[in-house]
Amino acid sequence: MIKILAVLAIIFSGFVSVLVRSGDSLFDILKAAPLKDYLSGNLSGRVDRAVFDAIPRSADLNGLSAGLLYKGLRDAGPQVWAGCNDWLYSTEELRVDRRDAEHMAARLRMLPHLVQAFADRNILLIVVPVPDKAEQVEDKLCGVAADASRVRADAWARAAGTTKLHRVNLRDQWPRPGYWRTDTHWDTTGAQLAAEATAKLVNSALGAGTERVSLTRGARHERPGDLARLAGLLDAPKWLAPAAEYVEEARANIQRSGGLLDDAAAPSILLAGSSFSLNSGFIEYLQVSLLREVAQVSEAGGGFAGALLKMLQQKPEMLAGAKVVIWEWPMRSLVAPLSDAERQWLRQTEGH
Amino acid sequence: MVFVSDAFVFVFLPLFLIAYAGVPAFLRNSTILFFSLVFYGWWRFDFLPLLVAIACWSWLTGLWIARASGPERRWALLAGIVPPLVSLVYFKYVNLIVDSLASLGAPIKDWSAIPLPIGLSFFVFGAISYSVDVFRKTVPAEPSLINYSTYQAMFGHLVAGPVVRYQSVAERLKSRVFDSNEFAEGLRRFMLGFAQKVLIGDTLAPLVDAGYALPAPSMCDTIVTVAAYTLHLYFDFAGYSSMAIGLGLMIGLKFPENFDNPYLSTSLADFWRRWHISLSSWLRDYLYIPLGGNRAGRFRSYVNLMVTMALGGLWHGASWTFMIWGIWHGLGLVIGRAWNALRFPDMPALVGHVITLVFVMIGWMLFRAQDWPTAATMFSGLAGQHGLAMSNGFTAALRPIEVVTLLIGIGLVYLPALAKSSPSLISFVTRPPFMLAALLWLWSLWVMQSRTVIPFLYFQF
Repeated sequence: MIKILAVLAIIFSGFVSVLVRSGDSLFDILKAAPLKDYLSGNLSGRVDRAVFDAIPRSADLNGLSAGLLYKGLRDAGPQVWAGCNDWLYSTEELRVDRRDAEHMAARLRMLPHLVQAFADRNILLIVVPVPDKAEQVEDKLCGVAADASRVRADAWARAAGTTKLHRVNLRDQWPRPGYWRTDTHWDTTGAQLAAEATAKLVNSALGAGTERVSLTRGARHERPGDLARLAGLLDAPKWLAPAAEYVEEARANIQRSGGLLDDAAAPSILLAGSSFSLNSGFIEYLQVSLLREVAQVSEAGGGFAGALLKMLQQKPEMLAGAKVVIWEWPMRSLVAPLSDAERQWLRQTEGH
Repeated sequence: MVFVSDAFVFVFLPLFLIAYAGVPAFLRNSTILFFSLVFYGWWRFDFLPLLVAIACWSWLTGLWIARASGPERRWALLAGIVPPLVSLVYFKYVNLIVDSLASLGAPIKDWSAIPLPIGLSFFVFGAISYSVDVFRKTVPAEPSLINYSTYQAMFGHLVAGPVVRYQSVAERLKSRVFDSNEFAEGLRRFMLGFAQKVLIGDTLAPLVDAGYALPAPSMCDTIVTVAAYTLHLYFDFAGYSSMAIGLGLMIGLKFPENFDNPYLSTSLADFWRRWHISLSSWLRDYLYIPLGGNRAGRFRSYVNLMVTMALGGLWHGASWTFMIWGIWHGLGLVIGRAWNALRFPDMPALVGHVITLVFVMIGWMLFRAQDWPTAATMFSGLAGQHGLAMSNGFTAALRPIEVVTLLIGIGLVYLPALAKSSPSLISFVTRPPFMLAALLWLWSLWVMQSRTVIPFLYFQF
């Protein structure tokens, strides 16, 4: 009987926890839901989530488990590939899916339409595809080769060759490693190289900038990698987690012309990219290399054309006065399933 | 709602247990029924009327069958069987029929797919077996609509079986008393099933998905994928059945066993005696035998077997690949029977086991493929048309924990056979102690929590 009671105690303590910790949110969800949500089952997902959030969990215990799996089996979870010497990779860059070719073909069909949309507005579109970490730091993969990355990059190179594009080829001049060890993004050397190469192309079209832009570096501090977070290793004890990485944040100081009360003109260069554009000081290095202010309209999770389409479709007023749009996207996003916005854009431009 | 969720374990189950223990005995079936409807409605409330209508109709026609005599009994039986069957065909197979006609060039436009009410197949099979059993006078008609609906809708077996026959729960539905040993046994079965599903079945699922997503799998990719699916399917389904049986026992209802170490079979007939037992015995009693079974000569029995297995295949899902899977097994059973009929010598057990397992695994390749092109890709992979060694794409998807789980799964499959020589070990293997089940369940709960948190964590790209 005692053993039954022990198990029931666990079940009922979970129940009490749900009542105590999610009482209000559960009640709010149930109160706010329209009848059709009750009937169609749409409500269930929200309630399940509220119940899930109400169950206590130990970050330390999860971290310990993730750390033991990582150190013991070199397993970093379903979304992270653990290479050698604490190098982590997004499995998105390595995996192959039967629909990859279909997604890539759809995106490549979008390309001329996107270029044309900006050309129609007299805006120069500069394309900055970010090479896969797996391909550029292949020697630390340990166990697999970056074949999928190469297939994507080669397909892109072929497609780009047939479209009139202003593009930055980072792949061939990459400063190895150029990426954080425990993060999917470029590190400061990668970001700096990408910024300088991009600026070169912009300056060749617009001429050199004249604003006074300087760079200051902040104090060195630990930088938690997003892949380590994904693998649950940020909560792991230090001896089980990958070695920490450190960064000195860069900050661009722009001294605008004009008097104290003058309105500064809106930047004529826009950066519409993915999380790469938000990481490792890319925009800071870009502004320094351009000697111009750049407006940041990038979007974390924007993938291939997320930020670009958002601007075109939802905030076209941002493009008034713009001369250049820098369109950065990670190469791996070529094969990701199309977002709703991308699908809709493709339907519109292809006329069906 | 699914058993393996916080909402079930920490909200639905405690609320149900409180209500069930708190109401007087005569309201216990109503309590089960009420909670079962909520359990089902968690998926979609708008399909509940369909289930209620089938249960009411089946109950009414059961009474009619019991009271009718002469030719009217047959009409009553038909009335009991046909409408539930029509609802099954409509919801489950009309999409397939329309898609197939469209692919043959029929001018079908703007067809919006009909959603399949979950659990409908189990529900309809329960209704059919009840009507037939009342007709055969195996069981008396149930006079109480509440009792009958409770049998039909009981949340333990409502969504994914086992296929429970009315006769197996009829007595307990009328009266049952709380038995702490039975409750403990039910809890033990529930916890073990939970652990089977979470720790082995669900762990292998992503590997199977990755293998089936490959555009050109190598021979090695295919073999590992199929091995993973073979174990994933078994531990997922057997785990779910075990949870259902456990939940039934906790409230005094005994559901039939559904699995008996099927991957230790030494022939295909043996496999079908051990795999999804409640379904295979249903197909035998309500399809194969009514078709004539073995009684009309050898050739006719082969035809009956093929028809039964083909329809059994189609019952699993509305896709031609399921039907071909059924035919594949029908063919295997026919060959097995012909082998015996021609008095060929019995194969050594080990050889029979290997052949059976390979046959079953090839069948699973069809079973898992969502369409023909996918199945064809996997078969070409197995034939080595895309190379022999493991590909980079698949290696990147193959987590070390999945490899370990795969090995543990294989070990668990063979453990009962290896433990044969030691009675205490076989008892430990076939009926692990309560506290071990509780520890595994706790571990599973923890794994479930950490898994569910991952999709919400990653939003940066």
